[in-house]
Amino acid sequence: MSGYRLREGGVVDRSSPVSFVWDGTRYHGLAGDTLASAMLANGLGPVARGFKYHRPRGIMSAGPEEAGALVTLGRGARREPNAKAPTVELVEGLEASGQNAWPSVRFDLGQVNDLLGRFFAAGFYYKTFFGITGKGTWEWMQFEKLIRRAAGMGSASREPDPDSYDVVHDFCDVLVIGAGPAGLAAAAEATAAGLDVMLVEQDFALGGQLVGAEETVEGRKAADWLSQAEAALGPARVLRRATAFGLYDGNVVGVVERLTDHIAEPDPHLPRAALRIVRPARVILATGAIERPLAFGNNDRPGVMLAGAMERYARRFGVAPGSRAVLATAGDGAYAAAACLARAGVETTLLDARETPPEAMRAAAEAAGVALMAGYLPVEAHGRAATAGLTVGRATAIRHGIAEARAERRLEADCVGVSAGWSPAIHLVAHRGVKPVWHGDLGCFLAGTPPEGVALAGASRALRGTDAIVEDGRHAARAAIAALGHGKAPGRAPAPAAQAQPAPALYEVRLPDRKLKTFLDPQHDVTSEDVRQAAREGYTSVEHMKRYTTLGMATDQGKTGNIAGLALLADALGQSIPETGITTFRPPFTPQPIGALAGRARGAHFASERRTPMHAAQAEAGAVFTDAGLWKRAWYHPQGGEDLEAAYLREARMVRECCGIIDVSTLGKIAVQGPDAGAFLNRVYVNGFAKLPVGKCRYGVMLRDDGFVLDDGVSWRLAEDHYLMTCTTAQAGHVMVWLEYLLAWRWPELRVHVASVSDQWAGAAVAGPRARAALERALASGDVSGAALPFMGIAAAELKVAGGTVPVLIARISFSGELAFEVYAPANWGEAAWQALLAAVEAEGGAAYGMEALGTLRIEKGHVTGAELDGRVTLEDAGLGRMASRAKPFIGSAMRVRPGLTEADRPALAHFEAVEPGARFSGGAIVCAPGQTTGHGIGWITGVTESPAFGAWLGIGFVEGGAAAWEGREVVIAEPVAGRETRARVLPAHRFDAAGERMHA
Amino acid sequence: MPDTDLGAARALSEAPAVAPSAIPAAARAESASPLAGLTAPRRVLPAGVDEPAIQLSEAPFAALWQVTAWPGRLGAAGSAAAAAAGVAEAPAPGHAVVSGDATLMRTEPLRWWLLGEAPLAPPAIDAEDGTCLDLGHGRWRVRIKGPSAPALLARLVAVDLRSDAPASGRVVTTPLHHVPVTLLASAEGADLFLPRSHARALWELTVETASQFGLEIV
Repeated sequence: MSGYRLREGGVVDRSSPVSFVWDGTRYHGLAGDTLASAMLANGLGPVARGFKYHRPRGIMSAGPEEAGALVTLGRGARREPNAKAPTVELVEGLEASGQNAWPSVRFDLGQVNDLLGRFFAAGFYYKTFFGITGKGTWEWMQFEKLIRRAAGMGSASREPDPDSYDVVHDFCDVLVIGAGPAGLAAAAEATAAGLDVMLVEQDFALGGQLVGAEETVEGRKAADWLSQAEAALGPARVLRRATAFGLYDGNVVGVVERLTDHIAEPDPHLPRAALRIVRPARVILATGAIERPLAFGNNDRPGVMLAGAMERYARRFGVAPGSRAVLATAGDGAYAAAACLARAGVETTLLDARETPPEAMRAAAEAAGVALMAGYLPVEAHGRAATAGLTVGRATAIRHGIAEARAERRLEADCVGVSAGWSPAIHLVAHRGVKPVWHGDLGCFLAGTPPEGVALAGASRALRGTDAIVEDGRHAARAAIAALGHGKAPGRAPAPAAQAQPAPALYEVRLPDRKLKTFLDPQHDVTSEDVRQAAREGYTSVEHMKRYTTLGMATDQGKTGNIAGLALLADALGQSIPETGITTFRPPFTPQPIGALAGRARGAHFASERRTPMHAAQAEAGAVFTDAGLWKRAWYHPQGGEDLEAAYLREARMVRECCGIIDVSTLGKIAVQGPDAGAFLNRVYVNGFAKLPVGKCRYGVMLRDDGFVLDDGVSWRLAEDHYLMTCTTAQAGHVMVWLEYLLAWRWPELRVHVASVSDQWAGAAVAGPRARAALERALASGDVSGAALPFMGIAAAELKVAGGTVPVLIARISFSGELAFEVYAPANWGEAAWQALLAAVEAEGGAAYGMEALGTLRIEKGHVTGAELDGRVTLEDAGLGRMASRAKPFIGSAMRVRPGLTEADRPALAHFEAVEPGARFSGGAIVCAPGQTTGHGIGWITGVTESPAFGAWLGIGFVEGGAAAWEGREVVIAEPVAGRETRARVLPAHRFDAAGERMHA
Repeated sequence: MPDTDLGAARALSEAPAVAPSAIPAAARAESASPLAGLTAPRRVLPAGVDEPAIQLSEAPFAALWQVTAWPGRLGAAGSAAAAAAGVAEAPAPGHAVVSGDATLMRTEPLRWWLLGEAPLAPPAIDAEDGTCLDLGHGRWRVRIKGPSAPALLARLVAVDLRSDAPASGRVVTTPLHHVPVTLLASAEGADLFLPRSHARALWELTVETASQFGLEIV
């Protein structure tokens, strides 16, 4: 491109060069540059390629509305595509490269698409993927691959993000969004009133359009006004490089603050960005306005940009976009830019579509050295990789903002600046559901009535003139101050005023005899013809047109192109702009890193890991752990290089033959207290608990309202009015919430308190024929003899541990089917209790066992777990039907007997033994009748194990009619994905020590 | 098989049999920290930060009793809690009062936590007024102090602590990384009461987050 650094001007530091790499070549910018200003200063171009047609593109704006200069930043794991060059702060060593092009953005083979443009018209994907013939053929598959590969913009790194991110919760009295003149004035006013103020600005500099400006603000030089305004912020929290991307219910504002992208080598402890969730009492949106471009022939050429952006590059960065500029406007918009360029030594011509511009403006422009051409329009830009001239013409008619032009002559130009009005940035308030309202006199949409606590100020209300904008910012602050009870409500806000001489709406320039390539949305390569085609093909809703043409999609979300697009659609449909409407604004205002949304909830911190008090002792002894929800549970305890299978089989045999110890601390534990605790449990469990004697525990099952099983567990009666309920690890949270709900809403009259004590207690089960002997070794006091502690009894005792004693509660409960005790110790002594019990178990010849062996033991015994109680299972299905009390109602007692839940052929619990030696099947497999191995089968497998007790591959699961219908008969266990079918014999699930002699020993 | 072991039943029903405070401390084993191996004193200072702006420590306590009132018996239950804490009046929701080794925190509208830095007898609450529960082993206390404590807390919990008065602590139960924690704010920072099983993960998260400010584990 044609840009260069001016000899003077700008607020960049000319003594601080900053080097950066563009497409492998090193260049220099200055401190205070953006990537875009540095690229312009180096005359780089083209810097990007269009999405569909691969046309060369340059820098089009000076802000987040950028639709042209999309680049890829960084490399390796930090590669970030689609960065908008004007919003990238230049930092020493910055690496940027072109994207969406091969071999490079300067010469891209993909530009052949430009010649095939008519095939890539609106609805290309829809028509291609849904419409053409030959689908399903080999050729189609290849074609589809090609299209998919060609689609997309840039490519992200596939490596994990190496940076960290924070999520921050902020509170303040007033949040001011945007630190232009209105925002600065508002923040200073609210701060002066003693309010707690936050000010967020997406740029790295405060001041908005005033940065580098030479105008006079409230009688002072802009730079002086700015420095005083910054000083007046005092204690306010000012966040630079922070984008407010969304305004949500309750006026919660989402802000992403970029913390280290501007630091060449940031300390690795610093997060790269923070998602700041701000909860302000009042919000002031001083978000400014976005200039609109004009659609004319080849208006996407590098060198064509917004007039305001040209001025910004010149004033703020001391960079000229070219040496011969033509600017075009239909209003007052481009006059300041033209004068600025002319004064900077750029040969500047200004086209004003109006035949007679305001005299004062004409005089000022000409005084600055601008060649003014009144009544002229830009018709078509020339050149390919850069602008090389502009054909201008006169309008023969302007209707609905669409000018019919007569081409007149070609002007020499290496850059073109356009200004077709301004769109107030009302995105954030629209996120709250506030509908934009079209104001024909102002030529823009304004926000409807903002929600309570939200106010707009300055250019976002279409105010013009810096002094009026400043005053409006102060007014919004005064209203917020008054609303918070700190002052008197101000009078009416300043009203936006139309230009002295109303400008005709202008969106597009056309020729009567020739079609021009006029882009509305350069980022997604949507032309004005695409919009007309969408209208012709019936996409008459603006939302449908957006989706059909992709206008206003992509990373700029149509910040510059949307208004022209809907104006053209309105024209094509013969209706007004208000009738046509505008597409819905949704967060985020600009793209934000997903890493910031995730914060620190990734990797090891994806969810908070839970460890039992006995974890460390087992880990040190070499246990292998597995995940059980958030918990880590010991899976198996290998000895001498054992693998999982060897370990669990040894552990299971050990428990049956001797004894073992397992950590059961993960079980949910709920204290149920109060005079009505027994009555409450009677309603919750299917079986009775009110008459359970103190010092006893009982196995209980609870149902949902619909009659299906919710959970099971053992509840201990510690006192007349105090139960300790245990529930499964998986359902602990669910059951707790359920009990709280029941007490809060269904039975508030019951005097029952529930509280989770899952973290208060550590628990270990000691099981096996030698369990009592082992436990007795560990006791300092207490009696666990059969007489003192019968099956389902509870005892208080003390363990001898290193350095003293530990009080414990012992319940005689068995999950394995063996003589067994659950020993609960207060959690801080859990590790000591584990060590003492393990030593005692080992002294009896046993050892620790893990989840896998526990699974073997319980499958053999036929005890159910969450794998069986999956929410589709009734009491009868689980073989627990006889537990249901007939003497009392309980949750689910009515619905469990409804038709469908009582049929005899429902799948019910059974054992499945592989028939052929060595044959195996898996959990999740389908149980089928012999010869009928298609479809859904007649049951399913929920758990499998090699069974030492039965000497067979054993499964537990469900089969229609249960063991009663199938006992001794064979079924086929099908695993269609693995392509495996296994013959298995159906047996009753409760056959290991059916009389219970072992656990009653 | 006898229905009840009367001895055990009596022991269990008359008082919580395994309340840590009921047993002479000398006979008891040492409490184990869920943060074992993580709390060795050290400093983490990012480049350009000379002094740590966060001090982080674990702060074990001796007793934690939860007192919950029946609706309508709030006054009587609060009086019992206040008496046990040695304070004149039970605090209002969201507040805490300190008296010697005891801190009484109103953690919920009908609920107080009575924290003891030294062993503390359970509040004598009448069954007609409410219930008492031992949580002394269920929570682990972590203390955050230092000039950047408000900034660190803003990165952990969504609580507005701006107007926190130094004289009376503020109490709030709130999610930290989706885990319910109870926070007692003070002028210097805050104490976090973490569910014991989550303490390790939340400590590591806190250390990771605090490092940017300059962190000292004390």
